[in-house]
Amino acid sequence: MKTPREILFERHQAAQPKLDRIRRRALSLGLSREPGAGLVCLWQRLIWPCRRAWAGLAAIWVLLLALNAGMRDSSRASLPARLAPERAAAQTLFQQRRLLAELLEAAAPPPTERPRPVARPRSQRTLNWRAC
Amino acid sequence: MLIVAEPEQLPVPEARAGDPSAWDTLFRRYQMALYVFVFELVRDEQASLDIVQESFINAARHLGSLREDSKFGSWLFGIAHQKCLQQWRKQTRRENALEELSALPPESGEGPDELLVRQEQEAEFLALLNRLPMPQRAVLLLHFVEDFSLEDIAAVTGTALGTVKSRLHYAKKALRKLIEEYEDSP
Repeated sequence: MKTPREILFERHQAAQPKLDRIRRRALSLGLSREPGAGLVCLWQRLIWPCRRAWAGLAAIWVLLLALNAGMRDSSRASLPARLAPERAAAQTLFQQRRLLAELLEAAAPPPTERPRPVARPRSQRTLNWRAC
Repeated sequence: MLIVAEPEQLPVPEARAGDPSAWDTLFRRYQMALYVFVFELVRDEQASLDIVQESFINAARHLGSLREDSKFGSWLFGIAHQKCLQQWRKQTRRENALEELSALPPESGEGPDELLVRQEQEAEFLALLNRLPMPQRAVLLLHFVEDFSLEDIAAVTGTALGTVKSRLHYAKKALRKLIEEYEDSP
């Protein structure tokens, strides 16, 4: 009496040498590094086991970027409205400065003419000095 | 005295580290069982050898996707089973299969080692195995060849546990009937 396993294994015993060859070939092919194998390995070891956590982080980043873009658009739209009071204040300040300048001009005395020095001969200038 | 078999220690952690001798040990351990399983499904020697080799290569390249080291065997058989299905779909010949049996709950009290086949019945046993529909044959082979648990067989074949129980029940029933008929005959 035999178990089904024993019957099946005996039946295929002749395939053993071929399987040994296949095993050696699979070892050389399976363990050799392919181009891109590093990325696959990284994916399998780092990303795939925690794929839900990575997907959650990615979703949060997308949400933050979307919020940021939305806020930038809204701030651009409200810029003219925010600048209107500043313009009015600047205009008022400009007017006040002009008024002040006008007032200062009005209060200032007219410029007096300085007496022009009388032209004298060079020899007389020396004499005056000696007299002092 | 109850003797409980210790779980098999396989060098899966060493294989994860890329140790070639660990891979050699793993492949040696499973090469014949995997070949028997594949051959009895696809019935073509060259195709079976190709599937075994591709399964080994895939296992070596994608071991990172295996979560539990203790499930290495069922994981490897799952890879091979997928390739058998692809091969099976390619084959144009139609097998003279038995009718798909209806899904009824299995009988209680069945043990995995109940079936023993006499030497005179071996050829008939193999012929009957070949006449079973592929899903039942796959379940029965996984049960006979590696004595996988029902949960492992469900994982390998990608079917529900109830379906596995049903398929295994009817496949074993068909085999048992064959054996009983032989014993009753003069």
